[in-house]
Amino acid sequence: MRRTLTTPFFPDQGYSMFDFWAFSSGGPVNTVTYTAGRTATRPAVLGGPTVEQHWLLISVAVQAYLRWVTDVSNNVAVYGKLGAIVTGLSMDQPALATQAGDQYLTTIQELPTDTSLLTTLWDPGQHSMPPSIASQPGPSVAWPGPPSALAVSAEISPPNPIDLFPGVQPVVGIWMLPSLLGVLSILGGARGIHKRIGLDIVGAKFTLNYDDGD
Amino acid sequence: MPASDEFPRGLSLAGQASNAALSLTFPAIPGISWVLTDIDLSVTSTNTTTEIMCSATDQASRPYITFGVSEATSTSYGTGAGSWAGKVCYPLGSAVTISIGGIAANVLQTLHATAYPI
Repeated sequence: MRRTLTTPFFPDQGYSMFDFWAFSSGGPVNTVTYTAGRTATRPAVLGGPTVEQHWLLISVAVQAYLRWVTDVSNNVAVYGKLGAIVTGLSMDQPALATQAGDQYLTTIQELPTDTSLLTTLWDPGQHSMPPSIASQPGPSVAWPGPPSALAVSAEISPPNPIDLFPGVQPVVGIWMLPSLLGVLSILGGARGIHKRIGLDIVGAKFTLNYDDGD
Repeated sequence: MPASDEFPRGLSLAGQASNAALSLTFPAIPGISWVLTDIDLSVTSTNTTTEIMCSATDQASRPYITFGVSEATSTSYGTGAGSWAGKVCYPLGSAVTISIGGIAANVLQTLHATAYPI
């Protein structure tokens, strides 16, 4: 029988896919927001199969919302590149810790070896920019829900159903590829009070479609 | 409009120095390559050196771009200015350093460079 299981990646709160990197040049002080990438993974707890059962994974659908967090209190300019966000099944990696407070601790993990189980959730070269919200000191801004964020979704349908084995939980991941965004101080070299700027992913969840053989 | 078009891609760095060496550095960032597109420099010096050298090296000090600027000299000082424009991609994760050399006694140097990350 076909069944579905929906699992949230994390609570409905903003999680930054960025960390910070600052450097000084020969001219005015520049502050650069940079991430080498971020990975969030979550296992699907299916509660089976048993050794007598034969379960098949049919497809995985991933949904999330993106928002662009800006610092409107400083006179800043932004430049750079945003990395794409990739999602999919990881059959060769364990689940990783996903967050501490409002920031991920996990830098990017290598993409799974089987890239046929991956797809692009958000491509900055094709998809539009998420709506902006103002950053604030401290924890992430609470997410009031659509339409204050850009809805993105993707589905991974393997050409052939994947066998599910007893005790092995499928892991679904989100990978944000390396990004670099500059926040250039233009006030005579004085570094502004930097809060937070970057891409938040909120309300992320995945739905596993599987067949339990009944 | 795609998100990538929302921001200018290039980062411009500028510096000025008197009687000191001058260089600009685009920082080394894992997963990011810098593409250098523009260099502008000007020098006013008290010596009679006729050639000013500018180079843009990677983190291993390998010069990817080197160009010279002729200095116009008068009785007491020389001035030179030059520029380079193109598109040179540096290795993944490497810093890019642009520096001026060949001047024994500097009075004033200005340097401006633009690169964008990929």
